Amino acid sequence: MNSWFAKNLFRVLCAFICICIVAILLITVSWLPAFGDPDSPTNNEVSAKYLEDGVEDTGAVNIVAGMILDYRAFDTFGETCVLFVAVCAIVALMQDDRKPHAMDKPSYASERPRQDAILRTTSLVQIPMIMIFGFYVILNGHLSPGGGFSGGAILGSALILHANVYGVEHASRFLSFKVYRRTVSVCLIFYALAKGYSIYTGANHIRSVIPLGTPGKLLSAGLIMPLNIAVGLVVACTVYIIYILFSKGDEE
Amino acid sequence: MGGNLLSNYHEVVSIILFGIGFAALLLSRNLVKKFIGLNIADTAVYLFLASKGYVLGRAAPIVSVGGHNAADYINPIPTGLILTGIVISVSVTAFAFALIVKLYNRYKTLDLDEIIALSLLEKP
Amino acid sequence: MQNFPFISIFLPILCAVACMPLRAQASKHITYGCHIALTLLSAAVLAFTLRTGESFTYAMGHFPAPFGNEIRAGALEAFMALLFCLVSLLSIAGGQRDIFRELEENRINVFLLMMNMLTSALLVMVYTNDLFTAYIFIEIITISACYIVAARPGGRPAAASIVYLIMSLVGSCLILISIALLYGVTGHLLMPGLRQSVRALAASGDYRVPLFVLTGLMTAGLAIKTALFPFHSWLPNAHASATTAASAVLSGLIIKCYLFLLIKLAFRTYGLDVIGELQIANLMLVFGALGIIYGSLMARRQRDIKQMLSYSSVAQIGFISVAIGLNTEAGMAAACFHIAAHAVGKAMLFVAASGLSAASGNAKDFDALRGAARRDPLSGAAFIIGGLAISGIPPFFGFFSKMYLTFAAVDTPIAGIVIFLAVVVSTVLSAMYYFPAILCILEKSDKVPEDHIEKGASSLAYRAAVGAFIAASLFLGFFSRLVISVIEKGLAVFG
Repeated sequence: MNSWFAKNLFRVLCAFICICIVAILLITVSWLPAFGDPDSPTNNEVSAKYLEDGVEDTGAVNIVAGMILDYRAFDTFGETCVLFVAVCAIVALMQDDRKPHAMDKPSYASERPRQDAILRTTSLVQIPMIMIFGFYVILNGHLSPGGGFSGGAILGSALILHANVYGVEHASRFLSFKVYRRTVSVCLIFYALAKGYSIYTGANHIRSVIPLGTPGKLLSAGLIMPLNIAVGLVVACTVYIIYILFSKGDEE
Repeated sequence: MGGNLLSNYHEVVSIILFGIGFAALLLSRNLVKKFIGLNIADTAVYLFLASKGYVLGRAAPIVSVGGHNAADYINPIPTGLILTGIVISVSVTAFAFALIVKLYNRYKTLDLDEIIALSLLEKP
Repeated sequence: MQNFPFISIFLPILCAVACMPLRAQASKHITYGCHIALTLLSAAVLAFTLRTGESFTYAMGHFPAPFGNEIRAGALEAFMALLFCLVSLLSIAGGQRDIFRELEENRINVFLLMMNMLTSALLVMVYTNDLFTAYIFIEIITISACYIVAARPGGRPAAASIVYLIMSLVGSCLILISIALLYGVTGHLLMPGLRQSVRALAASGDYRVPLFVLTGLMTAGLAIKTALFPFHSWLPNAHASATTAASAVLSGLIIKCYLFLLIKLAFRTYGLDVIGELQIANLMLVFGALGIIYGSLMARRQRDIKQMLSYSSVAQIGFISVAIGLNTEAGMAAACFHIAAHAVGKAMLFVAASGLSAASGNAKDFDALRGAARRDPLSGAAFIIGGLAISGIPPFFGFFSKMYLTFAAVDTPIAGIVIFLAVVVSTVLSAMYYFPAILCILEKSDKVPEDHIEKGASSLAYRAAVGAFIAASLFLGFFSRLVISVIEKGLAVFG
């Protein structure tokens, strides 16, 4: 018993710390403001201003999109940088240099096009619908729930389904691995320049030339729709690149 | 002990989930399980944030184009924070798994203690 | 002029994206150009803030705080930014030979991309006035730092990197839940608003338990990421297994930026009196002192020069934590001075160690390094200056940082005794491992066969970098009065 304790001292200590943290946090939760209380400190003038002036200031009907892409746009820029850094790191760690074009060729049996009749037939209908839905969510980010991130994930899943059913080689005839990487870079540069312009004009009190349009229409809300498109493409390409790299990493 | 423990049951559940995920992160031997634990812990924090934003009886913050009163909508800020957090969580997990694949290809094991022991045998 | 901090943040990110499609040589030129531009921009901001004597806020968007994001620059932030850019530039220049020798050809541009991203994220941590932005860029630092450790081929860097990643993410989890609690209790994310709310809460006594718990969690999260004892176990392997430029930036800059964020929180969000009420500073004092002792004792036992330097970093982080734990303005000034001093000194030591090992057949253990200073005098001089400086020998910067800390400790009775002992003990213990190392590299050794003697890393970039490091260390030592007065002026407008 003693030697087990000594060998596993670190693990016992970690378990004890976890239990302590949970207990302390539970006690803390009991002192927090009640759930759903309209008088809690979080419902202060900041959220009131976002809700009341959000449409006039940003042009977006979806206040969350207006908040993350206009009021707190620098945070979203940082988040897109996190995606970019993660993609670069994953490509650098997993890409095999001895086979530079291997990304576009199937490497083992399960990457060859599947001859499954059900999958092929249903995906003929499913893939276009998923892609249209993904584009819809991205473009309508400022009008309804959604936005670049969720729409990009939906679009990425359509690309993954296509690669799964028809094989990587067929998919890459349309869009090769290089195209995906270049899309990520171009979109990030566009985002940086657009946000840089917006921040520069804002901080120096210059009026921005981007019009806000009428709220409720598709072409409105200033920069929010282009930024949503950029973010959506980055997320879709990131999701697809990660999938391809991880499925490639299985070769021996 | 404050009085809001039962009324804050959303936060309580999220803290318990956080504890489970955090324990898995620290105590698991298997690398994949560690990062699944991290994901559970992060998701629990997002649940916690989401419950901070909700106000009873109010609608989602898609305002109607006409008049909009702040008293009709929930707080939009935590939702924005969660969106950002989810993306960060995904990125970090993907990077971690890339490292795990690289380590597995080299050492043929997913046990962290074994990997550390094997790696220390190599020349620096 | 006021746009310069904003440009300093965006320029490295654009350069990083530009590095992705380019090859190694072009990436190298872009990285150098970017870092030189950043150093000049930061120096201009420092001159501007010293002249006007106050800090300015810059809204990142069309909306002022608390509705939009903002950054804030004063003398202290500009000084830290200048320091981070300069040390980054010199580390990459000094480690250039090892980057091209150790990393795969096709991965060098990704490595430099990560270095650019790290510089940008470090600058955001210095300038930011918003807590959630700090969290996002902490995650960028985590991924980039783990990549630059794992970039070196081999199993050991990859294993060290995954341990670093796990510990870093544990810290990030704690920081995230602490930010969520802080938002839940105050409703603000930007520091001016947080300051009002937190001070009102501390005065009225509402939400006393949540405030205490979240401050503790935030400090614990930052302490894990900065390798404060007892959370230091990931540091030695990670910093020793990385390539030279990566080790220098990791040891010199990245573990410090979290302590700088802690200082920023203490001044700008809580105020030193509230922190004193919460008793968290005393914990930092105790763990810092333990870290000094543990790090120094373990450094004594190492046979490998980079492992020794990494354990020395653990000890120095303990020293800075002791200074922060004092919880007075003079103590924070001493902490900032030691952050600057250790950044320059440790980066210089890592770069010099790479030069010494290059002159000894690329071996890193002390047996092979005997007499290396005679083979490569420049690296030897840099290593000797760095070792003496960090040990605290006058007239180098280590002595002055210990002196300032002792002056700061004079006013507080009990903590003062702990600090005085910590200073004395740390000086003695550092000397116990640096002096044997210095004597080892100075030994006359005829036993090394001829073919082991390389001409050392004699490229222009390396010599320029080491020369600049030596100049910076001597500047910090001889002009310490000037530097500490800049820091104090910065701290006066920091809150």
